[in-house]
Amino acid sequence: MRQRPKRFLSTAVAIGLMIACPAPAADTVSRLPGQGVVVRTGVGPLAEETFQAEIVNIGLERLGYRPAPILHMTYPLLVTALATGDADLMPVFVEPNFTPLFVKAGGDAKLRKVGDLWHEVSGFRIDKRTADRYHITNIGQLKDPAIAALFDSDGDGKADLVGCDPGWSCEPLIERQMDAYGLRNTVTVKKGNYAALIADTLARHQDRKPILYFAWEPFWLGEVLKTDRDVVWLEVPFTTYPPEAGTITAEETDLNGRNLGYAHGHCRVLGGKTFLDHNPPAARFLSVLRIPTEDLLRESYRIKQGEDKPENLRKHAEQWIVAHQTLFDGWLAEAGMAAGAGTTGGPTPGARGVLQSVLNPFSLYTFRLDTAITSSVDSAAKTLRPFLQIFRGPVAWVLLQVRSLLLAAPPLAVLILVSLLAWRVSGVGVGIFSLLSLTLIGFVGLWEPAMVSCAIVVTAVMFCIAAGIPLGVVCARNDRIERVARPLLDAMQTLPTLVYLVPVVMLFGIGEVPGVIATIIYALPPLVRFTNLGIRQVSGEAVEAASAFGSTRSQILWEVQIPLALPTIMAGVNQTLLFALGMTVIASMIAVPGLGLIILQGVGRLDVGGAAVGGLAIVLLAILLDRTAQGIQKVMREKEAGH
Amino acid sequence: MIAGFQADSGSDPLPELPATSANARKTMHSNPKIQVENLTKVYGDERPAAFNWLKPRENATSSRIAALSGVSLDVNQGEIVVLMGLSGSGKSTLVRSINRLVTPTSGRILIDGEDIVGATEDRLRELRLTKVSMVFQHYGLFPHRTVAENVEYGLKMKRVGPGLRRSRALEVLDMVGLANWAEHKPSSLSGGMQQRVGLARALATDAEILLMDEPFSALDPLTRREMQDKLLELRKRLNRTIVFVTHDVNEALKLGDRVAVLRDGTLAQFGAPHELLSQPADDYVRALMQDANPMQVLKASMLSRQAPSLTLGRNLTADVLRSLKDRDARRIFVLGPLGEPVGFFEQAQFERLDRLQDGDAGQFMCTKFRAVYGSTPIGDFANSCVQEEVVAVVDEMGRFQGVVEPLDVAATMKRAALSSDVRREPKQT
Repeated sequence: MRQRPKRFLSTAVAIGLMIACPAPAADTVSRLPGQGVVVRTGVGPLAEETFQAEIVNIGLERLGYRPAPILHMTYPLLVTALATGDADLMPVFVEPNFTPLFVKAGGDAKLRKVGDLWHEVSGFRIDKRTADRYHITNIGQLKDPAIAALFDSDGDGKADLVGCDPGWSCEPLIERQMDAYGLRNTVTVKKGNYAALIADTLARHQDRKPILYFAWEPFWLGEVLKTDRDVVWLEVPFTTYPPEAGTITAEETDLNGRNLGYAHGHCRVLGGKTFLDHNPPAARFLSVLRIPTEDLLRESYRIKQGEDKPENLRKHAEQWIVAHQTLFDGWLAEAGMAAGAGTTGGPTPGARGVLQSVLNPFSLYTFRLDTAITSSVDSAAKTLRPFLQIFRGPVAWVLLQVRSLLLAAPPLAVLILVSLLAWRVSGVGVGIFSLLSLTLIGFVGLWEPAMVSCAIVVTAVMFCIAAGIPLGVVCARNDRIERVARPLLDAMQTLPTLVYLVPVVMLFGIGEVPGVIATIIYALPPLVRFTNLGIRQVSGEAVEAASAFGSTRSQILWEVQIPLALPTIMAGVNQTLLFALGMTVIASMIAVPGLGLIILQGVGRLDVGGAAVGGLAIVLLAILLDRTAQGIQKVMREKEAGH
Repeated sequence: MIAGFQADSGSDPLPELPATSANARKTMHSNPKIQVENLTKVYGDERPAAFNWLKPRENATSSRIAALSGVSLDVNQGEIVVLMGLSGSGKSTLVRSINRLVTPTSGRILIDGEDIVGATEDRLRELRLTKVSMVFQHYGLFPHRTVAENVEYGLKMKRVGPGLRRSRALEVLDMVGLANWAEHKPSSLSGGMQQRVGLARALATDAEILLMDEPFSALDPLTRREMQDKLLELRKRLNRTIVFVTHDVNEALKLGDRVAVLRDGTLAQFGAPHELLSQPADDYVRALMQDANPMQVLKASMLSRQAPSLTLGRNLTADVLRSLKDRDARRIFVLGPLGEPVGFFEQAQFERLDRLQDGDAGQFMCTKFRAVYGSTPIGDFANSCVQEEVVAVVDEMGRFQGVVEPLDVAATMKRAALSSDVRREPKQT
């Protein structure tokens, strides 16, 4: 509270300064090398990239260009946009990781790479404690099951390696390395959303458990788990790259005499060929621009600390330029600009005067609810995590049974049995649909992922039934509990599914079992609602009658309320089933296999066909499950109605 | 209160009636089966204050509603007491208090002398299993069970074995005429049949007290009358104490031995049907009674006058004449060996035949008359009276009770016509 007047004062001073130093007039701009040409810079989802883009934009602005607001999109889309001329620059093009995207989008004919902003180092890391104790220096040592078992996090006895997002260039490379180094039998690669997966790694490290993950620098993780203090790089037995990557030698993957297995990345600026060819000053500036890795690491950590708003990033960029003023002015000069001229700096876009801050009072103060939540979830995770692990056991056991049943049975038997069931409960049409769709899923090569998804859905639904129906009954019988539960259920259902994932990872870890738990949490509300509704809809007279004939409360429940609410409860089960199926796609981000992973990989690699086939399989499964569940409901209702 | 009839009640146009109502006689001597004492029920605001914020929007005034305040009444063994009133008058709350589906706020309810307001949950269940059963307005049947399973429900709760309870269910279903429907689901039955299932379910447990909450309100008029007659017929066979709720005046007056009229949770009047008709306690009751049809409410027994009788034998004309003279009667009935009326002698006929004093009077006996039960509504035989036919009243065994004079009937009919004029008086709001 005390800070507010001070803040207001400083804002007022800043605004006064802005008014005193007006923006360069239009004719000044047109005399600069950039000639007022509009530049559209695009980046990926990481805040670090926005920081980088701001530095680029400020430089270009001082050269007389007019940068448009920064575009945020996925890498494949951004590269495509550059090729089609919908965007101009991508200052975050990391080679060789993004090379396949470059090739796919049209290569040298449409795109041009310039500069070398910074270098990236990638490889496998483990915690220093385990490395020292067991003398682990090379990932090849994980061939030994005893060593591998140290890094087991899901109880299957195999090491769990946190890999990266399906679709990233590192994902297929890690797979290749697993085969090449003979680690298939002792190591499982966990794929998903890297940021989500790494939350688990951090939690395990806090618990002083061994960790094994893929890492790169610069990335904020390097500030939390510092090299040689907390973690160490692991060497690889030899360098292996797919032939399409060109010839990459051991020298290129070497860091201070140790082979990390990954060619060092170079962050370059990718631009539309037309744009760069027509704007030599911009191309020149970008080709000489350098950002030291340690600066990026520091910036990455500041972002992690919560300074991730666009205005923070802009300010960081300006501060960085001030800190490297001579160097930066030199680059501008090299780009065809006299040192010092035009570097007075214009006003930051967005602030136009006192009126602006009155009309937008939100610019004066920001309440950091997000950091508050982060720290409370962090501390909750720390205390609850060991306790919550007890839920893993039963979920894991059921999942294993269901999955081994579905996968061990011959596909033909499953296909015929499911189709027969669909036919019996829902009629010939659904039976034939089931037969055809399962056959299609099988022949497009998605049988196994589809069965894995089914196992996850079935397991989740079983737990939802076990928890949701009793919860619904409790809500139905107690108005007070219902009044508290209803907004909670609303929130659970409305909250974007992605928001569930990170807390689930922090509390339960990563992999199939936490994925099932996330699915259970997401798919539970409809069943609770429907059960509550169904029981409340039972005619008051029937309940009164049961009571008037001497029934106890539990007799009323079992003899009257549940049988009469059953059709509604079954409708809730149906909803839960579909919710669960939808959630398996999202859950694939925390290393859950199945159809979701296929879709995630397809989207990540710009593989439209692959994603579409995965999506189609999901749709077919959804229709099949829905119609069959509806059929079961109908059969039950008919049994209810009698003659 | 004694359900007798008081003759001189001021301006009332009803003729003097003898206090021979069979119903009234019954109620005078037995012990109360159910005693309701000063019963009050206030709805709402049962929650501790701390939880009030959780309540859905409700303004302060509507949060406390007195459904009953200080109601006292007795129900005697074997009696049908009807609770009548407009909707919201508290009649459903009262009937539900008797089996504690509703917990009264204060007051006592005694069943066979036992206070059930303070009874434990277990004791209540026992009472519901053995002593009190209930029939609901919308039947309250379990749609997922067959008719027989519905009827068995109370027995199942009583832990009666499956075989025994099935045979009992079939027995009761036979009683209500639904033996062939045992295996059907309630949804395939008509409304009247469903309510007979509800009745059968209530009868199956052999509870002494039967609570009926507007049981026939949802039925069409024909079915309703049929069900009312069924209830009266069953009542003769089974000795049950019945508390019957209705908002239909004619139903109340037809079925009730006594009728309790409720208004805004208080007892407006409690008495026999003809009392309500002849001496409404206030304008509210009077307004309600405007819809009543006295011709259907008043029974033959209420207009029945005592008449001299002879036993059938070799009655000499002289003896007959003497009897007529001694009793100063116009007419004397002749009864058969079981006390049933077989004919009558009319004084007028004898006066012309003085000289045949020693002859057999049999040839002069008139056998053209109509016999009605004491419980027959006047409306049913009013036509005979208009045609000057002699009406003899008999009891349930057919024994002679008395005669109904056409003049009395005419007076009642006149009063019925009058009371429909009275109906124009201001109604109670």
